[in-house]
Amino acid sequence: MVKEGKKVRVDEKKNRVTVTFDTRFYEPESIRLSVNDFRDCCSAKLKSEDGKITVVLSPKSREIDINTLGYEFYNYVLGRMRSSESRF
Amino acid sequence: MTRKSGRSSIDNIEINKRGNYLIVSVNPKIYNLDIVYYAAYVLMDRAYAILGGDPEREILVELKPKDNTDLETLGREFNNELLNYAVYMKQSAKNQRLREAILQRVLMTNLAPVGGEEAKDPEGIARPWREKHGKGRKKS
Repeated sequence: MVKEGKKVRVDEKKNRVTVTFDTRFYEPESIRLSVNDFRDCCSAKLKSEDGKITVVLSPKSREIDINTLGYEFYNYVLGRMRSSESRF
Repeated sequence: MTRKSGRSSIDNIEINKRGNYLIVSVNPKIYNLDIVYYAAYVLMDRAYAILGGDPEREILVELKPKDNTDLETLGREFNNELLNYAVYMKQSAKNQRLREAILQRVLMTNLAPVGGEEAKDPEGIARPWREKHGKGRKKS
């Protein structure tokens, strides 16, 4: 695990945040559904490579705090996995 | 408890005060991944949780509080939640057969009685309304 918060990378200049998911812990389907749910407030790009899924989120409004957006997204995916009841 | 620059560790909790986050390491042989999910889910309203590490050897849970919660308290609460769900799952597995038996019994009681006193219907209560009062009713 990247210990210094590298799982959430904030680029304030470009107003975007990059979050990386390990697919051994997070279901790809839940990540995809979460990206879809966040489309109202963010533009999102999804990349997948070697058991990792990277999501780049750019908020559509300045009111959204870019420093917490990535963390909120992580929690949202966890909640999505819970509601799908497929993992736990 | 050991201290390095801005970091301290207590048992399985590594606290990073500068970054305002902590990392709890979990042995998957003691607490499986499902238990870790539950514990992280319970703390979701108070902290951000990120799962990582190796699901076979060591699961690392990064917790970042949303408010001014003390980091050590948060880490210890996470440990308590792990234990809470481990006990729940163990009890749940123990009671599985009993739960199934109760459910089966409940469903069995919904079956229509065959024969016996209940099968007789002298007042015609079990007869549908249409059959008794509707068009084309049978005259008894």
